[in-house]
Amino acid sequence: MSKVIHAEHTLDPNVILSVQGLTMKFGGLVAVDNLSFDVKKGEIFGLIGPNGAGKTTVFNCITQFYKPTSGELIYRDNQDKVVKLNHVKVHDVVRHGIVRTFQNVELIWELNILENLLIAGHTLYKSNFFDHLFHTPRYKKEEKVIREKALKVLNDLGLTQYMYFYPMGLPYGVLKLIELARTLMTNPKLIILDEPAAGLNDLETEKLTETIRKIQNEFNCTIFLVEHDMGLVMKLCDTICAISFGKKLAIGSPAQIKADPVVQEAYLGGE
Amino acid sequence: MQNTFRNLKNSPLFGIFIFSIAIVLVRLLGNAGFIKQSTIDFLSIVWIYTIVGLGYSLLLGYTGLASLGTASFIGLGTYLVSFAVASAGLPLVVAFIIGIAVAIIFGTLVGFISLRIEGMYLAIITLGLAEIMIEIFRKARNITGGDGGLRYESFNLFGFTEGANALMYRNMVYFIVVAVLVVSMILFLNIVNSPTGRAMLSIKNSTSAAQAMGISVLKYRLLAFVLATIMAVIGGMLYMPYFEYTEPGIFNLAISLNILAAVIVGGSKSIWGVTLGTFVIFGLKDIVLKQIPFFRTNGNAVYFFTGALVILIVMYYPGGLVKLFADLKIKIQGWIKLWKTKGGKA
Repeated sequence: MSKVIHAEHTLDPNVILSVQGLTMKFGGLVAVDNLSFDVKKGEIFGLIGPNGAGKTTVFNCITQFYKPTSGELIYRDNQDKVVKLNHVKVHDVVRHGIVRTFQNVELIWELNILENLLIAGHTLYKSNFFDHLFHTPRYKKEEKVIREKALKVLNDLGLTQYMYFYPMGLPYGVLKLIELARTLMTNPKLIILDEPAAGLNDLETEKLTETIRKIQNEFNCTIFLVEHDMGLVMKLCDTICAISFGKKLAIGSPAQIKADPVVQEAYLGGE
Repeated sequence: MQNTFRNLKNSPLFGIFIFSIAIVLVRLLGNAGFIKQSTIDFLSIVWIYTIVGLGYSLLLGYTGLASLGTASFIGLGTYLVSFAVASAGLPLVVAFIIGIAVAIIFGTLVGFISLRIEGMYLAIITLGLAEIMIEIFRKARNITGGDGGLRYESFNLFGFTEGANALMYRNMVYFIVVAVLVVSMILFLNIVNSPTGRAMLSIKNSTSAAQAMGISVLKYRLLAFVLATIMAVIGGMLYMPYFEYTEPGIFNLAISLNILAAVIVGGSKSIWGVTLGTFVIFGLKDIVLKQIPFFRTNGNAVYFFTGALVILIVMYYPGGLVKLFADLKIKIQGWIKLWKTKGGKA
């Protein structure tokens, strides 16, 4: 670990995540091909592309669910240290302030909503196994603090009424919001959202848009999302990167992307 | 005053307290001659396997891993305690501490080998390791006595020995089993109601979500496996002073499968589920069914009975017996409410 931190990488102070020449191969299939882009601090960054363009693979590489074949992922963490993510273990990524959601909601079905949020706070616990085994005062105090934090997050996102519900049977829009609430429990700097609006109706999408804006402003986070709903992406994002077959097509503001002939061709099949 | 009592009643410790009084009473009634010694022996087996089952519940019910090596760890416990006490001449308490240490080392070792895989494959690997262990018990004749078995009857339980005062020894060993069971239940509840228990459950539900939340899958799988191993070894270390005899043939695959069945039948996430399931699998046939003339004359019919029960529960009540009882309770409460309102109107 320490070796990695000492190997100084230069990163523009405004940039939180820099993807440089990312390539991911599965056997002969090149899912992501030499992709580079920068995510600026505090912005909402959208990654778009047709089905199978490799968007989720990019996410999985950043969060270390996949180890990239080549390329560098450079990130400025919560202590303003520059970290090369390639060497971070998948379960340690969240400790650097990067947290993600999943395309198809991945909640803990056997725990209620409040406990799902406590799970998200897992890295905040300092108490060890023996504290948990004997329920020591140290652990009890900590549990109380983290429980209060969870209640606050639930309240912020208007989920308090579902606190003691189990996820099974709740509306899809609520489940998506719970996943979002879960990300906030981890004290994130960079939130990665994998198709946050998939499966939501118009009303729920609208509510989600507001919530994402609220998170960006109130929690001071950078948001990086993949989305199919073009309306949402164009409305929400500050910068958009369009990819197709793992290659970058264009990067720029929503207006630039909308006007870009290459992007139009990829989406509409050209003339 | 009434409120304090209600709070006490709602605490999970209250149930454990009542349960422990009940099972201590069983022994005392046995001393008074109301309950047969054989019944108490069968009950003690149930308590010992419940201790093992609690560990297994952490592994299967919370972490979602199925191991088939449980019985060989119980066997290891029986040999460890005999060796430490009989050959090395250590006091029983020291033997227990050594046993737990060995369980930790052994569990970690086996866990490291096998926990990178899951599901069926883990069951097969642990089964293989269990067979290796049993083979070692068979072949290491000068320590284990081989197939001829190992008998040791001179355990000293806080001053009581079988030879000097058999009745007090019988009582003492029973109470030790009960004490370990009660402590295990309390610690089990502590673990499952803590970040550790929640982390295990999240691994069972979604490894990706667990990892994204900063939970190391290997660490918690290993922890669950080591805890299950410790409980199995403790079970073995209690079995030996109680029955004073062990042999490689006792702790075979059938016992591992029965513990798996017990945890599933009862309810894999609850102390009462594990207790109930262990009673159904290990105690029902000897304690209850043997009282029925039909089962007494047709000894093997009990296996059809328990077999059918396992199939019925797995097919129609995956939550286990404990869920069945909880649902029944809600239904009966509903009926009572209905009956009361009807009565009020009339």
